[in-house]
Amino acid sequence: MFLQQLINGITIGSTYALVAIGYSMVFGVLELINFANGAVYMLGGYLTLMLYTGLVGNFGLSFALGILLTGAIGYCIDRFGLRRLRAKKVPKITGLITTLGISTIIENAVRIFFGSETKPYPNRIDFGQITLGGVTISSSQMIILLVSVFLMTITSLMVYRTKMGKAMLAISQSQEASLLMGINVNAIISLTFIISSALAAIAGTMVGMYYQNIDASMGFSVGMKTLASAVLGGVGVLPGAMVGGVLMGVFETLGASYISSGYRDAISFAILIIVILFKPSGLFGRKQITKV
Amino acid sequence: MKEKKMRAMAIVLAALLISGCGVSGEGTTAASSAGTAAGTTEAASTAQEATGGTGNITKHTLAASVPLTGTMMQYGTSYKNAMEMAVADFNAAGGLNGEDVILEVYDDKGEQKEGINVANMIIGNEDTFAMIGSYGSSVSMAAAPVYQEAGMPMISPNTSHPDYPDMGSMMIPLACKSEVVFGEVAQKLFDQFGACNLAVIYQNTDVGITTLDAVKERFESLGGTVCAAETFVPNQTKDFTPLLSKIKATNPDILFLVAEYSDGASIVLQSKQLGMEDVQLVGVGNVFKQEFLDLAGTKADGMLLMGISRIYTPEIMESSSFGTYTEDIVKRYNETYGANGIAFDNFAALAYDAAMVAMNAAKNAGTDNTEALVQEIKKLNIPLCAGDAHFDENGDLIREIFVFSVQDGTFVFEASK
Amino acid sequence: MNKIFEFCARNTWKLLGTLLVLLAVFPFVFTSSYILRIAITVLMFIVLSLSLNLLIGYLGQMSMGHAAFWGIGAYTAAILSTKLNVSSLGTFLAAMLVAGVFGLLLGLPVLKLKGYYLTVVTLGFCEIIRLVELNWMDLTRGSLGIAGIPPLNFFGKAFKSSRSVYFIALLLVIFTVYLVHSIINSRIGLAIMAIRDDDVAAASIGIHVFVYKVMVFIIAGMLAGLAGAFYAHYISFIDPSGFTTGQSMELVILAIFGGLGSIPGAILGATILTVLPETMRALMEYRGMIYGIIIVVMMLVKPDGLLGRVNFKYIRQRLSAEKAKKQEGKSHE
Repeated sequence: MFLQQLINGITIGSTYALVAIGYSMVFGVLELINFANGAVYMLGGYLTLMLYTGLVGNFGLSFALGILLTGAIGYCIDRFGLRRLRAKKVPKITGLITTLGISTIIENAVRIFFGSETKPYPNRIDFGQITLGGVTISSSQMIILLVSVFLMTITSLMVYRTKMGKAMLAISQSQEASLLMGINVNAIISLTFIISSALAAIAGTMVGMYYQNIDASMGFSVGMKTLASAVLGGVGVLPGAMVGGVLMGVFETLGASYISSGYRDAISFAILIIVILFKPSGLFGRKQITKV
Repeated sequence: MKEKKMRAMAIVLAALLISGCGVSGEGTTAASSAGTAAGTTEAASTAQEATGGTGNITKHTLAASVPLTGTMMQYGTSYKNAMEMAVADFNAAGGLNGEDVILEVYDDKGEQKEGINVANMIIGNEDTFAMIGSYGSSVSMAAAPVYQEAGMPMISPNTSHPDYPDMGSMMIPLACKSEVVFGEVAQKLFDQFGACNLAVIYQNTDVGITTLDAVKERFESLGGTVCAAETFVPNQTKDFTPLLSKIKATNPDILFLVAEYSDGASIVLQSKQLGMEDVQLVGVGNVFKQEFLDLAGTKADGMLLMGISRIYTPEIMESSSFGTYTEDIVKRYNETYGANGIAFDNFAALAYDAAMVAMNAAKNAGTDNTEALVQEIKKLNIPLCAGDAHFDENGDLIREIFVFSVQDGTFVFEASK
Repeated sequence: MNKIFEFCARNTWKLLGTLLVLLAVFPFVFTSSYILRIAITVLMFIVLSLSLNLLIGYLGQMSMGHAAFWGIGAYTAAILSTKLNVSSLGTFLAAMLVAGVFGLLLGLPVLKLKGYYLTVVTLGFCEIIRLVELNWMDLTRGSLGIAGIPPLNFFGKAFKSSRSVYFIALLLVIFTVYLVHSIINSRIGLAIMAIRDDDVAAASIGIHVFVYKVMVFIIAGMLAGLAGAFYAHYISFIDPSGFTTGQSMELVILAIFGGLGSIPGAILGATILTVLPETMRALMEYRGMIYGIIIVVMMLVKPDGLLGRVNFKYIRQRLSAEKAKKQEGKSHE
C-alpha cells in the first residue's frame, strides 16, 4: 500500500507542481504573491472545456486556444491591474490585494457565466492502467507527471539559459537598474504573467481531465497548496517549485493514509512550517543576505 | 495631482451612488420579481376565498435566505427558481384570499455572518409571515436564534442538523435527522448483504458525521463490521486516492459514501481507477441528481442509492409513479429553468414544498397568530412534491426511504418503503 | 481633500467628541435590528482590522492567519460558557489569554522569517487551526458546531437586546483604539515602526527586535481573540466554517483598504467594506463580482488605502508650526 500511496502522492504533487512553477516565476520576478493564480488555473480549465463543447469541438485545438486565451488574461491582469501600481512604486502588499480582488472577480464571473454546478470533463489522456505487484498506475497519472517535468524543464531553460530569462533575473534584482540596462521591464513582466497563466491553464485542463470534472471553487484550495509548494521549494527556483509541489502531494497523501484523513491538509502544512523554520528560504532557495 | 484626487472623489461618489440605488432598489426588485411570479392572475384574485380559515391574513410576504453567490450558489439558485414557481402557482390559484404573495429572496452567500444580516433584514419587514432557508445547517443554525426571538416561522428545506429542531418552536425542518433515516438504511443494507465489511467515506460536515454515527451504530449492532471510516473536507479535497487506497486495503464488501454529487462522482471514478471493481457502491441522498451521472457516467453502474430524496430524471419520471402533481411541477420547472441551468432535483422539490406549505398554512390559519401558523405548517396536509412526510409524536420528521440503482448510466427506481 | 484632512487634524478632539456622541445616540435613532446588526458587525470588524493593522501596518509582518485567532477566541468563549458556565468577563479574559498564547506560539518561530515565507506560514497556521477545530470532536464538536452559547452577561446581568450588545461592542472598540493608540505613540510604538522600516538597523541601535515582534504578535492575537469571544456570545452558534483562510484574506483586505498604519484608516476600511456589500444586495448574484471590481479599482486609485498616506500627527505639527510662524511674524511687527 505504501508504494501505491506514494504514486498517488506524486500524481497529486505533479498537478501542484504545474501551478507552483507559475507562482514561482511571478514571485521570482516581482516578489509578489499572485493570489489570482489559483483562479486563473480554474479559468484555464473552464475556457478549454467551453471552447471544446461550445465552439471548436476538437479537443487539441480547444486546449491550445484555451492556453492562449488564459495567457491573454494573464497579460490583462498585469497590464490593467498591476502595471500602474508598479509605476507608482506602492508597497508590494497593494499588488497582493489587487490579485485577491481579481481572483474574486474571476471566481464569481465563472459562476455567473458558466454556471455554478460541477461540470464533467472529458479525459483525453486515459489510455488504461497498468498493475504492477498490486500497484495500479493509470496513464493519466504518468502523463501528468511527464508533462510537469517537461514544462519545468522548458521554463527552467527559458529562465536560466535565454536572454529573456536573464532579463527576468535582472528585474528581480532591481527594476531601475534593469531599465537603465535597456531591458523593457514592462514587457518582460507581462511575459512572465502570460507564461505563468498559460502554465496554470495547462494545469487546470490536465487536472480537469484527470479528475474528469471541474468547478469554480477548485482554484482556491489548490492556490493555497501550490503557493505553499512554491515556498517550500524556494521562491523563484523553478526546479524547487516542482520538487516542492511533489513533496506537498506526497506529505498530504501519506499523512492522510497513515495519520488521519481528517487532518490531511494540516499535516502537509505542518511539515511545510517545520521545513521553513529549519530552512527559512525553502529547500533550494539561496540564503538572502540582508544589507543595511 | 489635483486631477487624480478628483478622479478618486468621482469613484467614491459613484460607489456611494451605486449603494444608494441598492438601498432604494430593494423594494422594487422584490416587487418586480413578485410581479413576474404573479403572472396574469388578476382575474383570479378578484374572487374572495370563502373557505379561508380561523385567523386574519394581514401579511403577504414570504422571505427566503439562500446562497446566490459563493461556493453553494448552485443550490441557492435551485431554491430560488423553485420558490418563484411555487409563489406564481399559488398566486395563480387565488393567492391569500385574493391577494398575491410577495416573494423576497436574499443572498446569504452560504456564510453565517451574512445569514444573520439577512435574518435581521427579514424580521424587519412587518409584512413577512414566514421565511425559508437556508441551504446548509451552518447558516440555518446561526440565524435560527434571530428568527426564534422575532417569532418568525423558519422553514428549512434541508437542514438535518440534529440540534436544529430543538433551537425553538419556530424551527420547521423539512429534512429528516440522520439518526432517523440512516439506521433504517443500515438495516436495509444488512438485510440485503448480510454481515459484511462496510467501509464509509464521509464528508466532514454535520450531515457526514451524523450519518456515519447512525450507520455505524446500527450496522455493528446487527453484527456487521465497519472496517474503515475516512473523512474529507468538501470543496477542498479533489483527490480521494489516499483514502480509497487505505479503504481498499481493508477489503470492504460495501463502500458507503456520504458526499455531494461532485465529490461522490470523483470517489466513484477514482475507486474504479484503483481497481475496486467488485466493491458494492452505496450512496445517500446528496448524489441523487442527474449531474452525478453526468460526472460519473457508466462507472457508477451497479451502485445503489438510498435515502429520503427522490430522483427526477426523465427516465425515472417515466417509470415510477410519483403522481401527476409532482410530474406536472417537474415538467414545468424543467421547461422554465432546466434549459440553461440545473434540472429539477430534490433541492428544488423541497424548496417548492416549503413555499407551498408556508403559503397554504397562511391561507388556512391566517398570519396574525404565529403559533397557529407554525402548527398549521407542521400538519403538512397538502400534496408534497418531494414525497409524503409527517411529524411524529417526538417532533421528528418522517419520510419514506427510496432505493434507486444505476444501470447503464441511468437511474432506475428500485423500491420505496 | 487636503483641506478636509487639515480640518480633521486641527479639530481632532472636537471631532472625536462629536463622533462619540453620534455613536452613542446612533442606536436610539436607528432602532431597526438590521441596522443595529450591521453596526455591531462593523464594530467587531474594527477590532479585528485594528489588531491586524498592528501586525501588518505597524510591524510590517504580512500575516494571513488572523482569522485563526478570531476562531480561537470564539471557541474558547463558546466552550467555557457552555461547558463550565463561565460569565462573559471570564470568557473574554480567557479568550484573550488563549489567543495570546497562540500568538506567542506563532510569533516565536516565525520571527526569523520574512515576506512571503511568513505569509505562507501564517496561512498554514490558520488552516491547521481550522482543521483542528473541525476534527477535534470531543472539544469542538467539529462541523456540528457549538450551539446555545449564552448571550453576553456581566456581573450576573444578561445583555440580550441589540442596543446593549451594540454598546458593549462600542466599548470594545474604544478599548482597542485606546490600546493601539497608546502603543503606537509610546516608545514601544517607535521601536515597532523602526523594526518595520529596517529590522537590522533597529537591532543595531539596541532595539530588542525579538521581544517587540513577539509582543506585537501576542497583542494582536489577544485583540482578535477578544473579538472572537464577543462574536461567539453574539451569534450563539459557531462552527469552523467562519474561520477559514478566506476569512483571513478578507481581514487583510479590510486592513489594507483603509490604509496601513493608520487607526482612522483601519476603522474606515472595516466600516466601508462591511456596509458596502450590504448596500449591494439588489445586485443579487453579481454582488461578489462587483465587490472584487471595487477592490481592484480602489487599489488602482488609492494604492495606499483610503488614509494610508495621511499622517494626522504630521499635519498637526505642520499646522502648529505654521501658526507659530505667523504669530512670530505678528510679534515682530
